[in-house]
Amino acid sequence: MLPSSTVENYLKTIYLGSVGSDGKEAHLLPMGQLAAAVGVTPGTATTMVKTLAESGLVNYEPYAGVSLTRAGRRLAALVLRRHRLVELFLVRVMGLRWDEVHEEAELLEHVVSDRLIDRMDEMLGRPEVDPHGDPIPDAEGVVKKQQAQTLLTCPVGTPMTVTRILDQDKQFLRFVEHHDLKPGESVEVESRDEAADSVLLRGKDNRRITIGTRAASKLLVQVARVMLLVLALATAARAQQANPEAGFPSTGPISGYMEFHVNKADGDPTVMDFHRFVLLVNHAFTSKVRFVGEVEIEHAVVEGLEESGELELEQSYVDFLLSRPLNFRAGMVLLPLGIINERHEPPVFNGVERPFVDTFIIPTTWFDAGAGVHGEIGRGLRYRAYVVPPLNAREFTASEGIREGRQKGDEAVAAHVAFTGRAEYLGVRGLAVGAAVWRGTSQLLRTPKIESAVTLGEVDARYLRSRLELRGEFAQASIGNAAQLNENIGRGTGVPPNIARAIRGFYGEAGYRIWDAGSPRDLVAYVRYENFDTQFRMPAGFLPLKEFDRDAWETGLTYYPDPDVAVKADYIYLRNQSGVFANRRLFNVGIGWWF
Amino acid sequence: MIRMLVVLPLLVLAGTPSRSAGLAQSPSPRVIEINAERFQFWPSQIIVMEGEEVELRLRSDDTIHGFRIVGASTNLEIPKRGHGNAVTRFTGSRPGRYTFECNRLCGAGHNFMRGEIIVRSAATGGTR
Repeated sequence: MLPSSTVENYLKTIYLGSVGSDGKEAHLLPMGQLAAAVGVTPGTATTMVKTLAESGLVNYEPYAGVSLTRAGRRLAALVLRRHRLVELFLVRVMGLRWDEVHEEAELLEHVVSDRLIDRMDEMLGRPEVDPHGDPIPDAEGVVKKQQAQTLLTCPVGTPMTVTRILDQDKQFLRFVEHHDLKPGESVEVESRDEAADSVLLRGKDNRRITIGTRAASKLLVQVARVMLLVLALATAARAQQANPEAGFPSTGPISGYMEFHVNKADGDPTVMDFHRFVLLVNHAFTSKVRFVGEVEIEHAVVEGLEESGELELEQSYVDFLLSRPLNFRAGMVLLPLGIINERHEPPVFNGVERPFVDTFIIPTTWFDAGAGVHGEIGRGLRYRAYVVPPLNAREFTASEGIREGRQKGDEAVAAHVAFTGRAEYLGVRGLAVGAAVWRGTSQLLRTPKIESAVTLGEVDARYLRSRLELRGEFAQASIGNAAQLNENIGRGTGVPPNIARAIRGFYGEAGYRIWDAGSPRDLVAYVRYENFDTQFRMPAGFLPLKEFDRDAWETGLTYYPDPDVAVKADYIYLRNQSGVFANRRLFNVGIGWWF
Repeated sequence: MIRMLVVLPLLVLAGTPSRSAGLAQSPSPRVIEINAERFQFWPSQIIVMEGEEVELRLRSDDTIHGFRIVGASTNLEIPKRGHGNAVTRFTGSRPGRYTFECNRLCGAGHNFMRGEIIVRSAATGGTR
């Protein structure tokens, strides 16, 4: 049963009478004081208090007084929470004066639901104090302790800031306002005159004010530097006030990640490459309708008609977050294939460059215009499924498989549509296992019309336990009508591209956090083996180019001066099966960060 | 008029979790440790009995994440890996499913980072 407004008023009055301004329960509240505060006779108050004691809400000591039990104290704090949030709401949102909201709050505190109060709390930016500086208990009824200095007890000659007005009588509040002594105002006690019961203050604009000691005892203050923090919080709260869906920033701060690499390969000059500069933005139209966008500059410079950098829109979608198991997404989406395609922020993977398998077999970063659904079914089982345009088969190659066939949402031809989906299991701590597929009928864009059914399947797993992280991935794609593609493209260019009918790759990686004392003492060593072959199975009449049957041993270090900054160095021994082309040693160092 | 403006929504929202349910809380709440990493919470599903208070201790394995329980006042920032935990309490005041989510953009898969707290009815012995 919900407590009645009478019960709540008693509990609140006992709370206010027995709990000091510093939040500590100071004493038993005498019954006479309680009766006077509630406005009833002592006999009536005693009868009510006995009832409250039977309910376990108060401790009643005859001839001594009453105090709250833990349960009573919590209920009282929640009444105060409602009262103070309502006061703040009326002042900030509805524009009422601070000296006329107390009476309204006295009524509303008994009828406002917890849900509405929580929304008010969010809308106001989870304020810590009401317009009078009274602390607002949190949703659990916990009150943040305040320092309990008054203008009577604070040090003389020290800049202070008014934090709280203990008396909410209208006339007193107007007196406070008139003298610019509202919470947040600066003040300094110049002197106290005990004989005259007065305190001399230096207030706003160095104005001197003399107030009585009784008034001074009702004004709580803090040293000014502490107040700076309070003001900062108040500013943050005001910033959130404009947010229609509080608790979720309507337009989030810009985030992003960057990677700077230095690459040295046998026989090649050293290359210094600002590989990626990526900015992410997000916006919540409502808490359920959200936009995320990601713009990427690769290799720093983008110039038209030159083999140079790239400016790409890698993500730009709107999510309709309807429920846990079913949500809709539409726009430019990342395809849910492999470990890296959706988790490619530099601090989350080892190695300066992304794994070869996630480059040559799964063409990371693989994104396209599309729409689909995603969600979580049951405990730890998640899925995503999108419809996207197919690949452009004219761009398939021997060395990079299907990679150059990505249409990237660039007026993508979608005579057929492709389907991609992923299921992943996250139900065991530290373990993520996924399987994904992409299937679509790709075309030679323009003429002649040759269709090529492409199916890419992959499985991947990550396991993190203590200092050890293991990763593995296997991916294979089949390319239909590869012979026809080769013949047709070859007729145009004079050289058949030697497209395979199947490409395949896999890798395994073990990483160990050899220094695990928290950044900046955070160092991971890893070793990885990769095998990737973009000529894995050839169509009849075509021989594989064995230089594209490759494997690599890779080892390196990732150092985290901060969890969002990764300094990397690695060594790769890259082999091929041709017997003609030399194996290569690669040295890479780089730094990547996320913010 | 002002009173009406505020009271009317109250009547609409009358079916919200009871504020008296918290009285049944135990003195030391059950502690649930939650790991946050791109782009998942583990566990992503938490079961609480009606009236039960639990303490949620949230730790990040990578960057800063947010932790917001939709429809409640809980809204925390989980510090970066190695920079401590975020701690909050949740009371299962009313049976139902409560979504929680990361509300601080943490990477490409940010919007996938969600979970739910299921508050099971005490009247049915926690079977639903």
